[in-house]
Amino acid sequence: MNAGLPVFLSISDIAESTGFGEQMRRFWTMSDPAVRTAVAGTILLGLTCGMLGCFVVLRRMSLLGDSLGHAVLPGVCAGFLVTQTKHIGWIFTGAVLSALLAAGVISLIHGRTRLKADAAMGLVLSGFYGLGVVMLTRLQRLPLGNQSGLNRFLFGQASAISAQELAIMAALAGLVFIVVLLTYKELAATCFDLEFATASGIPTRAIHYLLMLLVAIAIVISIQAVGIVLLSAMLIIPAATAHLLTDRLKVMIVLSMVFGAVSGVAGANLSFLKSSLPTGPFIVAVLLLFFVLAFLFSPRYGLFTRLYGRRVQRRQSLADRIIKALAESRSGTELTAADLAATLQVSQTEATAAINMLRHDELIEVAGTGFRLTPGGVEYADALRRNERLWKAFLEREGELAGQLFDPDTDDIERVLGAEMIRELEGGT
Amino acid sequence: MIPQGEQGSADEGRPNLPDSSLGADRPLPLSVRSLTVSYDRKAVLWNVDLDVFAGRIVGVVGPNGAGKTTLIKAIMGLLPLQSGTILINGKPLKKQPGAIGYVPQRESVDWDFPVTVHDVVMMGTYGTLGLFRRPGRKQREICRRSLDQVHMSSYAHRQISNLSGGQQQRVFLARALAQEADLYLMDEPFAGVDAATEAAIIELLRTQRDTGRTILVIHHDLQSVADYFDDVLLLNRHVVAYGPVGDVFTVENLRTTYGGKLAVLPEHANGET
Amino acid sequence: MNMPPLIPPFDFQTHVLGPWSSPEIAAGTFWTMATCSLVAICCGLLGCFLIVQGLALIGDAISHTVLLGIVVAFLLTGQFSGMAMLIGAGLTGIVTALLIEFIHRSSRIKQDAAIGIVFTSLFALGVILLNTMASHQHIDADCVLFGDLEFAMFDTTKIFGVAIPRSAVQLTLVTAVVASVIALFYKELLVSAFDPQLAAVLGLKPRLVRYGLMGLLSLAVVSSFQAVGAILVVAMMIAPPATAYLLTDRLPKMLLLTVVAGVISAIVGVHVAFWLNAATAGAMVCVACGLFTLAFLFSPRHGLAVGALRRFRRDDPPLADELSVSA
Repeated sequence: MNAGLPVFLSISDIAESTGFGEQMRRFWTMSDPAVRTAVAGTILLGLTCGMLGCFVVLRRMSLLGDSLGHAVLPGVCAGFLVTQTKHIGWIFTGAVLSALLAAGVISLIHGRTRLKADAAMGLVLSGFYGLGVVMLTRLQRLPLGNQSGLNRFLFGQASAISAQELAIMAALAGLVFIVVLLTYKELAATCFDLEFATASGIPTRAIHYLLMLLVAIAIVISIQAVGIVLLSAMLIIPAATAHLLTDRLKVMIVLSMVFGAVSGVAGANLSFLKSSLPTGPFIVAVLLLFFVLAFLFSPRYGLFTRLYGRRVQRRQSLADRIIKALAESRSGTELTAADLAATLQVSQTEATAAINMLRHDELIEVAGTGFRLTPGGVEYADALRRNERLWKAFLEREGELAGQLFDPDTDDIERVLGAEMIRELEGGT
Repeated sequence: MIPQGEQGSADEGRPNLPDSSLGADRPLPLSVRSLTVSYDRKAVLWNVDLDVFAGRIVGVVGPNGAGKTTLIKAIMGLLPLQSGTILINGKPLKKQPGAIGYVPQRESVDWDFPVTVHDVVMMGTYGTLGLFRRPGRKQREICRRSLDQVHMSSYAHRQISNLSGGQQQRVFLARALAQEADLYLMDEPFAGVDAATEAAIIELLRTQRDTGRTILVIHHDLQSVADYFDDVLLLNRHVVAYGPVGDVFTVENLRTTYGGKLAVLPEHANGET
Repeated sequence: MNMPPLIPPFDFQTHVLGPWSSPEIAAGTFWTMATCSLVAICCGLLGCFLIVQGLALIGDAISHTVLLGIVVAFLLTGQFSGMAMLIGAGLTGIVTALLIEFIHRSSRIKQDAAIGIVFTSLFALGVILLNTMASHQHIDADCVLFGDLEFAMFDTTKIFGVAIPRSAVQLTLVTAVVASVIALFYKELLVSAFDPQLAAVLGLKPRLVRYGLMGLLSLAVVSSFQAVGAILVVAMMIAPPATAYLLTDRLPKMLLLTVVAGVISAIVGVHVAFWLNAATAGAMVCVACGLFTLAFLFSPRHGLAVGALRRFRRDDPPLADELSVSA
């Protein structure tokens, strides 16, 4: 159907394929105006999407962004029909209107039928896109001449952003920034607790549609450089990466914008290195790299951090149970590793590992065929008993309110509960 | 280390029971040892020890976030354990799928799902059917009997969203009955049901108990605890107290479970102090 | 500029009978319709199980990520067709579902964001590989997004002396597999979809069932996208089942109605495409969405218009009467 049309046109198509170093130099000196526009465009879209993405991801509307991204296609075609040229103003208008219509249809279907939100989104996404495909193919088969340029809205073409388009993009991005600054309080409130926000008088419905409008504008800004399919990545991945690194919304937004912009430029640069390399997928690849790093190594929420913590915790909790078992056994009847494994119903290897750890810490020592507590171990056992007693007292005292604070495996009960609470609990027991 | 009620039950984690209810050689329907379950590295259940005896209805009572549902899910093998063991009839659950009959919270499924009452109850028999086998005459018979027991036969061919809360709960009960298990776990079967259904459910649980089945029920309404259950488990992250209702369901124990702030105390709680 | 009307006048003779006017043309029309119907059937049947459990967008994700599987299979075997491609796609589908679950279970990322991250990333990797290592082949990302039904119809193979499009043959096989898996594992699929916890307690391995479903879905997608493209596969996965879901309360009936809606979309869609001179797959999707709109408005039980009428007339005995609605 679209045979012969390039899929992902890239910056390098306008640059001759020369050596690696030469290309890097050409890219970073930005002597080529096309490179400058492309870089400025990717930075703009990275910043805009990074910012809006935070609200989208926190409100669990990630896939709504994707649906709206696909849903702009019929609008783009309709905008093209108005003047029958690639007049960017009409095409942008058509795209925004069609995205808003899609958002409305999604809430209509979701609200009025028993279909779930995901089905409503999938239906609108593919239905609008299908309509767009019919319109696009119909246009392409009309003898109009220059309609092939419509394809760049489908697949993205950072290098083809003209200076005039860049100006429109910058104006739109500026508009989005200003609106977000003005409505930051409301946007943030609806992100965290929709019901509370409604109750406290914030017009949440209006805010919802405002956010949809902003997302539609961001989509329009991005569509030329990244294309429809990968567009949602620009909204989701920077924000999700930032969410893994911080708990504060403002920090998250800044981080997300940085990730978006850096990936935009890096992706543009990568695609510049060799001819026929697409821009959009490389931006996503760079975003993915950031995400994977944060996913694995984020200081608080990283996978390795958490897995390591869980392993340490399992071993520690077994070690604590060994200490307790030894403390409870009468002196003179030292327990062997096999006894301990049997009492605690764990495998002998696990028990041995924990025992070795405890021996290394000089909390237990060999006694005859088995083990017994060292004086340090006795002290440790006392501390364990005290903690356990305190935690029970805490539960008794607070009941349901113990909730978030209850953490019997912590090694620092004073820090978790606070010195005052500890004093009260000790006084009470 | 084993939490005990103020009454001080004798054995570790075991309720004081009339001797007659102790089956001589039969393994316990449910035995939990030093169970700790954590979400996000924080313990939700902490050192839980629990022995449930055959032919008892056990109420599980505790404040919100006490780990009641977590306990049931852990017993069903749906959660990773930080430590501890759980034995059903003396064996791990993995070796005997279908040994537990299960009544989830009503909100846990999608009631718009395109199935009828009959279809849902039939699902209870799938565990014993095996691969590729379709439900036959025997399964239909089980299904019919289960629906009869909850008085829902006339609704068999209705889609499940067209039922009231109480009726939906009865469907879940019928499905559990169709599982023909020895041990039943029920997550708030009385939540949001009408009084008639509540009475019918407790009646049904009693007949089941009298045939030797064991039932663990998460329950919210402290007023009815003393009427409904044989044993009660007071849970707030750990076992606060566990034993026959008469011994364990005391004001003192409830205070210990719910914290000092328990405002309304049930009339039937023993040991007014 | 002098342009022909955007919507050409409809003419029964040309647009409805035209595609059947001569044996050759009729054969082409028939195979186009057959291929589209098979796409609708195999995607729709699986789509039913997706939409009843809220997994529609995982289907969307998989329809994009199979590209990576196909490219990797090509890099390993040098083939863009046959078993290697099916296996590659099947595995990618399962990997996609596993990755989504992994990300959302082992971090604070919510499921919707996880879906978005996984499908854009894998699709981007697929496109990069395609462009850097597997270029100059008969496949490009265009084909994945749009499909190329016209080309697929020319790529035929002879079976018993009859020229049949390869994709029709492959789709027939995949549809047969899908239908028999649903028939054989109906009860496992049903319980896992309705109440995965019960399925786990009964020992029915809901996770295995789920990943099996994802694997099958990838097979259906990879066989379909040559004809209709990845995004329109999603439409055929969601629109007919969603239509059926508004019309019935029984899963078996829903499966049947999905097939009916899918086949109608295919037959009408081919004619509409012929009439408008536009992409067949797109037209089929538009018809499928049109059918959904009809069901949305006029479904006897759940329709918007019917509901409004009922409220207006107020003479229907409300269903709630016979139910004791609890507090």
